Amino acid sequence: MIKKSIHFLLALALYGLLVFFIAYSYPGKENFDMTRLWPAGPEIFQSWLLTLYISIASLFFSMFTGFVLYLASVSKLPFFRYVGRIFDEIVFGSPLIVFIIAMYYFIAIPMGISNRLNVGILAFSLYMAPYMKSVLLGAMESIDANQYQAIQVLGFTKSQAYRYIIIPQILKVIFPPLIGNLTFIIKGSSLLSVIGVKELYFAIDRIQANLLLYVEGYLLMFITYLLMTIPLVALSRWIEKKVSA
Amino acid sequence: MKINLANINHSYNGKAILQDLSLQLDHAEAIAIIGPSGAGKSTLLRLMSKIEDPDSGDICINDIDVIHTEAKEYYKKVGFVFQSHNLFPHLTALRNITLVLEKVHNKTPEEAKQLAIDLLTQFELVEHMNKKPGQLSGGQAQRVSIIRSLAISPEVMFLDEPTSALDPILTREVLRTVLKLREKNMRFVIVTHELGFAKKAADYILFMEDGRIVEHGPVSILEKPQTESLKKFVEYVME
Repeated sequence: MIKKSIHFLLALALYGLLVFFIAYSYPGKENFDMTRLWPAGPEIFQSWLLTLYISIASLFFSMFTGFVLYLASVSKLPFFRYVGRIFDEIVFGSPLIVFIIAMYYFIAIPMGISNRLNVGILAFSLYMAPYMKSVLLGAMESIDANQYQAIQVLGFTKSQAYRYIIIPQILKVIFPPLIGNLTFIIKGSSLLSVIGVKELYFAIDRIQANLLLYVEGYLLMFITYLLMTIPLVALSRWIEKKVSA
Repeated sequence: MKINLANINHSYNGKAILQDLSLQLDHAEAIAIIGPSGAGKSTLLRLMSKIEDPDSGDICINDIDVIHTEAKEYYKKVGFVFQSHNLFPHLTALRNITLVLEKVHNKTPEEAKQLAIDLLTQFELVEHMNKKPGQLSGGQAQRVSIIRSLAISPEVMFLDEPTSALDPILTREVLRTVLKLREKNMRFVIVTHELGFAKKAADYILFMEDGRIVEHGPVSILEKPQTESLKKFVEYVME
């Protein structure tokens, strides 16, 4: 136990050295002052909340789009399977930033939709759909085929089987990758700034440009994003531990 | 137990597994289906238990027309034990038993729990009731799965080689459980490779080969086989 904590402290010290190096090698270190960001606090906090909202909404909708894509992938009609597969290829082959720009400028604007926030969330939800589909597919495949036979011979109805046997098992499997996807969404939400959504990256970027506080701004970005992602990663590990127990 | 099979044919991917198979039994209580691998034993069991329907033919178990009876209704009257235990991995041994009693057989949670604990006690598994299948040995898990089938008080239990995935020690453990079923006058049909066990536990033997019932009769046929195939099979297994 003691040994483990020593290793942890050593690892922390290594990162401490890195921070020390950056702080001392930074040419404008005499002017480094995080407190100058203080007046922009409310604006930053609001954008932080907006990022959280975007992330949770995108996670929610991407679960829905992912489920639709999953249904398409297991459809008996080849047409739906092809539609799904082509969509997968488009998403896997294109950077998120390009996808967001294309969704906004080539689809939403011509359709007369100009709400950047909603389009951003929709774009994100669509982009995440194939990833969510993979999570669902993995979860469904994690249930042994023999279990379906057991369900049959024990006489469970379909709804009972889903409620008491399949869904509880799927939930256990699905949570860790779902939280992994949420952290990806949180980080990726910064790209919605390219269509002018005033999320965390957009807000801090503007503030640091106005106040000429680039290093302080980026440092704040680091901290604020980590404040969202680290607890989620910890939660995911905790759930994984609970599930495997 | 009454079994009536009439002109059963069944195939997989165009390959005939059961061919024009017929049988009428009126008074067998414990039937062991034996025979070499690929004889169609498990397939016949799966058809009798309605996991699959035959390509053609009729199946009646205790005067129940298996093919034309709703699966849900049929499974209230029969139990099935698979080669692997097929317990639900997220539930404890106890919950694996009580869930089916509560949700399918409309027992109250208290009744279901009491019944399950009684059975687990009788089968010396009560100390494992709060363990999940992953925490049980293969033999214990298979025994819980037998109890799960037994708990619904079925008219007939079907057991498909319940020891095939187990080592010899665990096999003995499971076979002892099946013998207990016999002591409880449970009617069952079991597919097994264990001839010694079949002699002890069954009162009727079906010997299958190449998708047909080649010989059947009381357990004594294992001592005095009438057909060359059964004779060879018994000699081979006893070697």
